[in-house]
Amino acid sequence: MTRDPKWREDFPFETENDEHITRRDATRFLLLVSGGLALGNSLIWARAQLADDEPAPRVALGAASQLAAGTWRVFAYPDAATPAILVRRETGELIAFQQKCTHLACPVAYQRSAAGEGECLRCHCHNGRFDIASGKGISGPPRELRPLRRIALALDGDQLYAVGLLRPERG
Amino acid sequence: MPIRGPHHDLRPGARANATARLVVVALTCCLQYWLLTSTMEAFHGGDRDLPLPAALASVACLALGVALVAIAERGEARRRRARQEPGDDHEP
Repeated sequence: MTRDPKWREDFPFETENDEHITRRDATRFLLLVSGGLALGNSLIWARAQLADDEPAPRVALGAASQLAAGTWRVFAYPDAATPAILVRRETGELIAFQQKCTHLACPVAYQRSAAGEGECLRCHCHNGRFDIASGKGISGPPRELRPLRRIALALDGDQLYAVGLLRPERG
Repeated sequence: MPIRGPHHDLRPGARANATARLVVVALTCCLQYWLLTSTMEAFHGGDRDLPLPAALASVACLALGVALVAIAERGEARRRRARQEPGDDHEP
């Protein structure tokens, strides 16, 4: 048990100010918060290093010819818990993206140009739209956020494979 | 026996000094918070180049805060020792 200082023995009066947090205490606490934030940033860096070392899985998506132009389907990539969307564009091009909207993780869906807004990926939760070619947000909340991650596809005969996640374009 | 003074620095400007330290550390915390959320966003978007400079910047902010507090506390400890009278064992 710590002994009270002499001045406290001589003046044993409590005041409201005794409970106030001093500037020094607040600064020390903020320093602790600062340490936590620096640790968080360091953990993201460590996680990025680990993620770079993981080899991209090769997942079979079935026969490419089964997907007609202007249609789409859902699959999981790179793991079973991460939904992705495979689209055969109206031009016939095959393209795949991760399906979680970058706003609040709702699933995005393919929308044909017949709907009147142009061919795009649409998030129905908050009416966001993504560019079908790049995955960048073009309207709604995703416009201010990162693009959808694009998935690299490979064709082996008629067999279609997802072979990795493409790095986003800068700018 | 004379009554010992308060634990903290009473020199003119000491209060402003402590306030300035608090403001600087609070601002670096805000910057670090912005760095953390931006880095998280970039990382989830697949950017693997941003986390290292962001982590270094965040650690630099922490180092700045630690240096400010350490310098101030060392100075105060030195002044307390200088004020302490010989034979006085009532150090708070």
